[in-house]
Amino acid sequence: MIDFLQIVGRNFFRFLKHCGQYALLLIDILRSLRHFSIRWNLVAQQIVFMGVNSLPVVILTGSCIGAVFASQIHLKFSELGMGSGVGPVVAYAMCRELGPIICGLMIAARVGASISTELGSMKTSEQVDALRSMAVYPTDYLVVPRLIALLISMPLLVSFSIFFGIGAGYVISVPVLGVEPAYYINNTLRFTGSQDVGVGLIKSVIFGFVICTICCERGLNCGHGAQGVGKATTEAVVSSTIALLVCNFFITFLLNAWMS
Amino acid sequence: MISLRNIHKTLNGQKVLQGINLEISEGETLVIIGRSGCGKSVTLRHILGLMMPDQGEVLFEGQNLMGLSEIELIPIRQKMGMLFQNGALFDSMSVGENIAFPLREEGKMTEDEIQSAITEALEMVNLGGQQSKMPAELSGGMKKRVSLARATVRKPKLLLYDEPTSGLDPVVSDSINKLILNLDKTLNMTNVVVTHDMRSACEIGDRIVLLHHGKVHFLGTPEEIKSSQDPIVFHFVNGISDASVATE
Repeated sequence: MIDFLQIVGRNFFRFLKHCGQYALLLIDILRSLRHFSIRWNLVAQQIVFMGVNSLPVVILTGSCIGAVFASQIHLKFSELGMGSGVGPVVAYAMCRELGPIICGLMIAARVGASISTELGSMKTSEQVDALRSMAVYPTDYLVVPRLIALLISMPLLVSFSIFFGIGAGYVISVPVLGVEPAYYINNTLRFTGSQDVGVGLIKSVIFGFVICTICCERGLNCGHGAQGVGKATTEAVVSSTIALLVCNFFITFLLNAWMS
Repeated sequence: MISLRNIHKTLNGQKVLQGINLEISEGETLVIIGRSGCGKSVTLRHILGLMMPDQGEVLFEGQNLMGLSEIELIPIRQKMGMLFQNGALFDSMSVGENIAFPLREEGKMTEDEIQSAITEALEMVNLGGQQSKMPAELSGGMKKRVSLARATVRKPKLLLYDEPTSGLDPVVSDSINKLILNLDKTLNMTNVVVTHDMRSACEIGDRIVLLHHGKVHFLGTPEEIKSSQDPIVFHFVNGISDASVATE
């Protein structure tokens, strides 16, 4: 029992420590934005790495989810004689939930892991201290460009995910499962509004912020050596994934309440 | 130029520095020696403001670094340079980009001036024409020399060296010592060097300070340290292990 309490207590204090470090990083980001101009050349480099290079993965996962979801929905809807209803359901789900969440999870895995590993390696090999010794503010050089790049990239990536998800849903429903194209398109356009896309884009920006800040925090506060970097990377991906799902829950309720 | 006054620092429950007092004059080369874990590198990090003391003051040109934020430390750090133990070169940048980094950050030079400064800095450390290589392609000694070129390219007033010759063969170590002496002559910098290497310490140091148990145990010229009969100094200078000293 005492052992159990010790484990719970230790993990609780570790969680509090991470929260404190996260809050300090957020303050540091605000301080950096106030005192330094944005390094747009680094932002552009990061957009290429985080955005452009992530496109194939995001398109592939978005398409797969759209296709599979359309197939599953069609299975039940066709029993009810509502085959043409697959289109709006797929579009609605892709815009509001599946597009942002699947894209967010892929970015947390691909970009988040890379951010925490890179910053962690820089910290353990004293490169972060070298930046400080050369009168460079590490948050300004390492965190802010990545954050801005991901805030710009995420809405675009989610848009691609939604577009290709809906497109894959159409390909599965119309040519493969035989849904009437005119009804499919008409119902999709009728029941999917710009506010559905807006919800997805709002979520994408928040997810980008959450992924980048959590992964930067873990990387910059990683332990010593290869083990420390590995642990930080695992924690970064797990924490950002959980944070993303929890955030999604609250954002969904808030946006639904706001829009209803 | 630098004053360390009653510096105390505890790391992970261990008292690393226990009241360090040091005065470093402009233009001098001070060598800090001592056994592993005695607080040499931690002292160096306090001078650069990479660490803040739990107690005491660090003064650079009369300005107390204690309590300054990272942003307030930026103009002070622009007057300093540091050679890190493992070079700390940015592995995503080439040798030339590493050396150009502090100049580009400073933003006072044109690209042509930066290119000629890179060439000059690399020639100074006998690595002319290596600017396009990546750090992963360099040997340990070459990395240290590139790091030295990067630290000096901005011609700082104060240069800090963290174990510049550790892990290098005697020939490369000697070349690094000569480089430090040469820089001292040509740029008239103030140097603080942390090392284990007694030969190197005597060759480059104007004064040598021996840290023991987080305190200044001995401070004097190379001649004075060589002739000291203090048991701790004697054992360290001559590389003799002594159980009674070790467990003191």
